This record gives sequence, C-alpha cells and structure tokens, in this order.
Amino acid sequence: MTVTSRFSGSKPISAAQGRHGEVILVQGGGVRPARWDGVGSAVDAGVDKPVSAPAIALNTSPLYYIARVDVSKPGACYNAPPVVTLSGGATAVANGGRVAKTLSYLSQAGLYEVVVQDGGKGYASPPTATLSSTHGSGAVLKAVLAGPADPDPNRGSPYTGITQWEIIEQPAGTNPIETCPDSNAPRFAATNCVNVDLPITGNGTYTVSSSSAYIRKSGSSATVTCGGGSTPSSTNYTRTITYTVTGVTSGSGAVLRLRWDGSRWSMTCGDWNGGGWSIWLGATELESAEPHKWGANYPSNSDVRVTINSIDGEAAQIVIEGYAAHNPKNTRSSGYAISKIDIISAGSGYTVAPALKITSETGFGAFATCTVANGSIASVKLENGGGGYRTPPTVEAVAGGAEVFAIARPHLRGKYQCYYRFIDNTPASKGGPIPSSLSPVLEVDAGEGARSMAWTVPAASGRATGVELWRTSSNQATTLYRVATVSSTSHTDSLTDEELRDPDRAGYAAMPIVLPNGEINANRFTPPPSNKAVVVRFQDRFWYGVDTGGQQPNTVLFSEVDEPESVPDINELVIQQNAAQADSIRALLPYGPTLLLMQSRHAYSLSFSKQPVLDAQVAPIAYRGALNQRCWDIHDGVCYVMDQYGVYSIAASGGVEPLSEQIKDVFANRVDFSKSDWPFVIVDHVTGTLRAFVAMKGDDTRNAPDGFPTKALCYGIASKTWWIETYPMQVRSATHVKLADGDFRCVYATPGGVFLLDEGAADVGSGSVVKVLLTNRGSGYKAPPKVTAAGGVGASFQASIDAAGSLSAIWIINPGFGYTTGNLTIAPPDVAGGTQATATFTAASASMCPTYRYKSGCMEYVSDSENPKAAVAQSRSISLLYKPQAAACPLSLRTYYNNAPHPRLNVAPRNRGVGFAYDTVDNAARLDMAANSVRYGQDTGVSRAMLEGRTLDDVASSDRHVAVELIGVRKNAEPVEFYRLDVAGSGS
Amino acid sequence: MRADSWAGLVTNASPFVIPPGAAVEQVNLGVNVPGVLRTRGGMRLVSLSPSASAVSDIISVDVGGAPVLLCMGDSGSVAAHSSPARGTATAAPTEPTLSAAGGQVATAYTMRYRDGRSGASSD
Repeated sequence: MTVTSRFSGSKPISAAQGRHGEVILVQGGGVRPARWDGVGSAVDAGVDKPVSAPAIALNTSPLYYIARVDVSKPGACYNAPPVVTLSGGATAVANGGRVAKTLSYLSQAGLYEVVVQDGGKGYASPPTATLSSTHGSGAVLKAVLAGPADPDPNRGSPYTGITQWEIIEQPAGTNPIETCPDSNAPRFAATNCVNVDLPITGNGTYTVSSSSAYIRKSGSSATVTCGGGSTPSSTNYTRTITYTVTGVTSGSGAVLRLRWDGSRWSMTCGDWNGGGWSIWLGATELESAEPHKWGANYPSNSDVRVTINSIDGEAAQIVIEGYAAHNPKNTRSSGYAISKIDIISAGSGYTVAPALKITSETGFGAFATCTVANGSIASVKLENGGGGYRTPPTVEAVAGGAEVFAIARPHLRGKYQCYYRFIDNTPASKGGPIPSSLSPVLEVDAGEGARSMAWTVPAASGRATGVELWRTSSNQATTLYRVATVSSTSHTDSLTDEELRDPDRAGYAAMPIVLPNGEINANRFTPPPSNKAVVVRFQDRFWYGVDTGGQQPNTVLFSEVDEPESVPDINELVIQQNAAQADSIRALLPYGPTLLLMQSRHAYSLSFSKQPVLDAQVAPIAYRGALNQRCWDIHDGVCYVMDQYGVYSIAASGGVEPLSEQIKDVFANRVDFSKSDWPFVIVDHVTGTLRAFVAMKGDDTRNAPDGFPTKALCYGIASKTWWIETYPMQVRSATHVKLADGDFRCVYATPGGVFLLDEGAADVGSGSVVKVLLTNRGSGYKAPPKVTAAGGVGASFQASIDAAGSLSAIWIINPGFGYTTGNLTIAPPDVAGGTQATATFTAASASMCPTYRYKSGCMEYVSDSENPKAAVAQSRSISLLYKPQAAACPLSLRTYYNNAPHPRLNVAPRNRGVGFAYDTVDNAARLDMAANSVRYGQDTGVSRAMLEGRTLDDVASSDRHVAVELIGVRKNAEPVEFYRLDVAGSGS
Repeated sequence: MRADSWAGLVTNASPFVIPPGAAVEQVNLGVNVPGVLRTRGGMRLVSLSPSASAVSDIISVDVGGAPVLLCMGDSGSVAAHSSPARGTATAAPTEPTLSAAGGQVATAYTMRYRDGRSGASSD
C-alpha cells in the first residue's frame, strides 16, 4: 500500500508517531511533510490557512430573542414555580425562529428567578411575559365592623349602600305668584309635601309616577284649571317624573326619595284669575333628597348621579348625587373598627400562611394574621381592629402577584469579528479534525439590530474537506465561537449571542484567540515546516529540526502539545552556540527527560517544564555530535551515537564515553564522510551488538552519491570489542520491530527487501563474486599484484605468487555485490618483459556462505639473545581451539611474517589426513573443522599447524614476527567459533 | 603466545604492540560472548504484506497495536507493509564448481582452489 510518493529517494526520511497513531513523515528539502493515519494514503501535514477574509452580507431587519426575564415582583404563596408565557411565540415560529423556554424558581414561596433556558428567536417585537397561577387561591375573608349590622333588613348595607344624597343643582326658586302664568312659572310643583321615590338600579333613564305630584309640562300656554277640590286639571301637568341615573358601576337596591314641600309655594286662584279658590302649586325647589333605601355594594369611588330634566324643554334640571357609605364624599357615615374577620372560604394551595391584606379607603390600622392547615386557611387572628372603617375593608389572603418582564434583544447587535478556517476529515479518534489557522478577520457591524448575516467563503480544497465559520459574540474580540461547519461556500447565520455561547448547541466550540498567558491559540495551526529533515516526539510535542534550507541551521521548531501538525512560527528555539566553531544541528535525540540537540560536533541537552518558549533549558553536554538522525540508538538506557570521530556513549547521567578509540583511524581515514546521509547506527538488543553501517572510501563508486553502506563497524557492548561485518548487499537502513512470533528484532532495508541479519547460515548474494579463474598466471611478479573488479561494490581480492614470479592463485577476500561476470584487472608485472596475468570472475545472485577473516597483530618470536634455546629450531606451531562442526567446514590459516602484506608460501608439504594440511603451492594451511569420529569421545576441537624455525638476532633474514590469519566461510547452521589461538615461539 | 580473550579489531595502533587476541583484520567474526570469536549469521528475508523489494529507508510504526513497516523505495515512494515475520530461511548455498585447465587456477569465495597445472586442490 503506497503511503506517499512525495519524497525523493536520494535522502532518508524521518517519522514520529503521535498519541492518536498518526505518523508524521518529513524529509526536508522543501517537501511538504506528510501525515499518515495507518490506512490509505498520507496527506499533507497540516492544513493551510485561508488567505482571504470571509464575505458577509447583513440582513438589517431585526428579529429578537429573549435575553432574560426579570422579576419585578416576587409575589407570595407560590406552591410551584409558575409557568412563564411569552407572547409572540407563533410569530417567532413563523419567522423561522422558535419559542423561548424559561424556567422559574421560587424562594420562600415567592418567585425568585426566571432563567431563560432557551432565548428562542424570531420574535418580531419584544414579547410580554405572564405567569401561571401556581399559588394558593380561593380564600375568601370578610371583615366585620364594630358598627351597624350589615345588612339592615329594611334599608340595605349601611357600609356599601348609598347613605347620602346631595342636591347638586336645581333651578332657583321662583315665586309663582309673581310669575305665573308666564314662562318663568315653576317647573316642578306638588300639591303638598310629596315624597317621590326614585329606584337606583343602574345607569339609564327611568320614569316614576307620583300620585301627588303635579308637574307643569308646558310653558306659556300653561293653565291651571281649578277643577274643584284639591286636584287641578292635569292638562298641562304630568305626574310622571323621568330621571336619568349615571355613575353606577356596581351595586343595587338604593332608592332615592325626593321631597317637595307643596306648602312652601302657593297661590290663590282668585289672586291669579279672579277666582275664589286657591291651589298649592308646590315648591319648585326640592326640600330634600334622602336615601329611602341604601342598597348595597356600591363602590366607594362611584358618584351616582340622578338627573331630572326640565319637562318643558327649558334649560333647567335637578341634579342629585348619591354617595355610598364608604365614599369619601359621604359626610354622614361613621367609621368603625374591625371586630372580626370571618373565613368565608378557606381556599386551597397555601403552602405557607399568606399575609392578610386589609384594604380600605376609609379606615386604617387593622392588622390580622392567619394560619394554614392542609393548604387552606385554618384561622384568622385579628391583631388590631384599626378604626375609621366606614365599610368593611377588603381582606385578602395575599397569594400570587408575582410580576415579570422579558428583556428582548435583536439577534445581532453591535460588532462581530468574523473568521473562517479550513478543516480536514480526520476522525476524532485520530485527533481530528485538523484545522488551519484563521483567515484574515472581517469586522461586521450590526448596529442596533440585525436579523442575520450571510457568509460566503471559499470552497475547501486539498486536504481540507470543510470550512468552519467562527465569530465573536457582540462587541468583544477575544473569544471566538464556532458558528457552523459547512461543506458549501455559503451559510446564513442568525445565532444570537446566547446561542453562540450555548455549549449544548450542536457544533458549539469556543476558542480564545489568545490564551490568558499570552500564548497564541486560534492561529497556532501552522503546518509543519518543509525545510526540516527530522521529526521526533518529545514530551508530547513534535520537534522539527535539521535544516535543509540553509537559513536556520541551529533552529528547532516544536508543535503544540499533542498537535504534531500545529507548528506556529513562534514555537522556535535557537541554540545559542557556546563553541568557537560554527556548527549545525544534525539530529534530534529524545533521551529520557531531555532532548539532545546533536550538532555535527557538539551536543546540547534541552529540557523544559511546560512551555519551551518560556522555560526551556539548553545546555552543552558534550563536544561530540552526530552524523545524522540515523546515527544513534539507545540500548539498556545508554545512548550510542556516531559522529565523524567515532562511536561514543552518553549515559543517563550525562557522562560521555568514547568507544571506538581502538579503531579511531578507521573513522579518521577510511570512512567516507562525504556520504553522510545514509550511515546509521543500530543496536541489536538480542546480541548486544552495535552496528554502525558506513560507506568506506574507495569501496563504493557505483552508488555515489547515495553512499549506501555495505559494511558495518560492529561493537560488542559486552566484550567492548570491535569488528567489521560485510554484506553482499547494501544495507541502507534498519529499525526495531516486533515480529509475528513475538521476537523483537532489528530488521534491515536492502535493495533486495527487508532482512534479518545474523539469522541462519547463508547470505543472499546479489551479483557477488563467487569464483575466479586465473587464466594466465603471468610472470615477472615480485609481489602479489593488486587485483580489482569493476561494476560492483565491495569485492576485494588478494593474489599470491609463487617462487617463479607467477600468480599461484587469486583469493576472493570479499565477494561484494552488484557485479556481473567479467574480467579482473590485474596490475602489470614488476619485472620488465614479464607477462601480465589475466583472470576472469563469475558473479552470481544466489545464497552464499558468509566469509570471515581474522588477522592477528605481529607477534614477536623469542630470539637467541632472549633465550639461548632459540638459536636452534624451535616449534612455531600454531594451535587452534575451535568448535567442531557437524559437517565439512574449511578453514585456511595463513601466516604473515615480519609484517609482510602477503602470506608466505609453505616451504614443505604436510598432510596427515586430519588436522591442518598444506603444500608448497597453496599459501595456506587447510583445516576441515568437521568433527572427527573419535573412538573414545568428543572431537577435541584442537588442531595444530606444525611449523618451526629459529630467530637469530644477528641474522637479518631471521623471522622476527608473525601474524596469523584465519580465513574461511560459515557453511553450516551452527556458527564457526574459535576459542583459543596459540602461537608457539612467540613471546607474548 | 596464547590468545583466548579476543580483543577485537585494533587498528589505531602499531600491529607490533596490539595485545594478544587483538586483530588488525576481523571481518564477520564477532565477540558477543567473551572468549568466543564467532562468525556472524546470514541474512533472512522478512516476510511482509505486501512484500517489499528495494528499500532505502525503513521506519517502524504501530497501527492499531500491530507493527507496520514504512519502507521507502529507490524512487522515494513510501509504502506500508504489515505482518513482519521471519520469512523462509535462505537456502543453503551451493558450492561453486571449480575447474581449471592446465596453467589455470580457479578459486572460490569459500577459499577453495583448484590448480590446473599442478592438480593441487584445497578440496
């Protein structure tokens, strides 16, 4: 499964894995880092921020939401929180909004608070709020005054009936004698003292007839006919009084009694018309207007007005006003104290004893309390009867009465900072979605009110799959709230501030633009750099270093915590160099509580507590460095690093110990540091073997400039010894991995796939030299010539010559790899006229035995001056203790005398059938290490090459030193093992 | 002189002074166990799903609790390979056949030789 094809094959890559399993891969060189989640293809690491601000159109016709509901009066005796009903809900819904939801709370049976759970939206205007009656109710209390009984069975209520009538207006009294019968004659008359009762039943015009009243009907034509007796002719008179009642709002039963004194005004007919009898025309002026019946339940503030208009149409009327007893205008009524309060109805739903409110327009001072049982008023105690009550005051068990009012606000008001950003589709389980930093800001001013804003943003592209819209609530610029996540390019946003800030809103998210400590927040999502070749994870941050752009050689960038793709520019640390020589970071090495910043020749430790920008500590720890990011590994808590000076260790304590002093010259002279990209170090945890794969000078021309190594400088951590391993294949990289069988092993990358090393008995050759045919031995050679092969990597040969100066053989010291069968190049002979030897080689791609080679140092023979016995032939046999092999396993033993570059031919043959055998043609002693069948026990594993000689100090040709070479192949499943080498005759 | 504590490769010194057991050449013979000079093992292919061919760089990651190897090929393309396991053991090598006519000498990388002139052979 291809993860990505973005990288160049000419440079290594680096990767680190985050807590969600995401893998960040980098290479530097301007290549965009990649993120891989374990499936599918990798994507660009990080999401690029938008380059333009959003476009927003404002709908300025406001709609409203309920910001809060305030309690203006708490009320009393609530047994359950009342339901708050807000008007205009249907309109809100019709506007695409929703009805607000509130929740009321009680405290001490009063309304304490109304919480707006959902402010709703879409209200065309600020709504009104009403409350349900979830309080005690139904109690009816009646105050009884210490006054007249109420009601008076004959007249009505002395407290609420009309007990006083006042004549407000009537025509001025006119002397009929003087005026009659002119037009100014009296308009009302009665024959005698007359009572006329006017029932006051309600507003309206009524008529009443009186048997004793005679009322003039007309003016100028009026005549009084003396008809005998006391009853005048009624031609121009009426006995019916029409009156109009106004001002009655309630109450009934009152009767107004009018009285005219008929004797007051009189005339004699004879006086008027020459007659001899007289008639009492009665008084125009009312003598009195009195309550005949009080009636009841007339309000205290109503002035009942009775109007009797002129009969003849002239502008005159009688107006009388009646006052109930408790009307302040009533000057006749008396005030009383309350004598008791009766419970007419105990009511229900009272959880606490309500206050009793005694209301009167006349009296004052009364005070009463009550008790409650089972939700009803059980008793009333009159604490103070007060006084001055003209009518029984209203006694109210105070319950309910709470009042609230809604505060509405436009959906949008004021200024908003608007942004958007891109996001990808990384699932939450992988730490997604991964956002970009914010777009440039757009400030939207909604003024005093607006309905909505229509967003237009660019479509997501590349890794981004969606767009998040963010803005502030009104008139602040510090915290952003996510409006919506959209896949299109437009969105209508009518979120109120409450909705915007509601954590329960789908899609809600809040994001401070800057954290309280001053760190950036909303704009921290800068993608990882493309000019850093290395990424590591250290303390939940990803660190990017090893600059490939040449601009920041000693800069490391780090991500936000657990956000490997968030690498803002300010997350930067620059090593303040304390060395005389300029250097650059080559590797990042997480090691325990510190991150080692490895330059090529210097090492710094970095540690921090919380925020590296603020509290990072960087200190130099060693004047050693690292070749590259691949040149370190950690084994048993010790870090092993390779730089151009060799391999060294860094202990957890910080101590640095050079490990490769024994082969320091190899690093100084043979390792090709011009190819520093691909060397690597890995420690095989199973064997404790450190392998430092390096390219050697001169052994690798085909793969330049890649410099893929084929050789490893190996260090046995337990034995503290070095050796070299060669492989018939490039070994390009390695890592630790758990295999299917549970073993944790190093695996190595090669041109032929991924391999385990040090497993089994055979190498996998690939164009390796397996045999050489010396086709012409040549002549004239004084020393074995140099033999080389072209076209491959790493093969090395060693020629041997015989006493005649011809080549006796060409040994294949290293099979190399990558060769095709061809001719060897053999140096020309040393002697003029000699014949140049020729040879061919055969390369094969097949399994092959690992070759091995051991050559000791120069061991000094004991001379005759040191030991007189040395003057005669002494044993110089070479004994070898080895592990007998299960099958044939050839070993060649060669001897180098006096530090000669070539082994010496044997001077005499020997072959006893077992043990070493040698002749005078081959320059080696041969041993088959296969276990011999021994009659009485195991093969001893000891063989001796029989040699002898003497060393005379005064003879220049005497051999003084010998070096022993063991050379062979591993042919069997079991490894070849040597335990001891004895060289007789050598002193030490 | 007896050498039974193999001191390993010592090149940064005169070959005349290096201690007994030390070597000026020591190839594919390691000392992981003190006192034992042992040939290295061979190469064994790691089976992967899918199989990998030429690999330049290799990184081990964990995917859902299972190891996955990210292998970069020669072209720079990175591929994921799961289920790393020991592959089939490398087949036992075949000894190269040596033949030499008169005057010729054939040698194998296994240090055998055949001299067509003298008939000498290390077989």
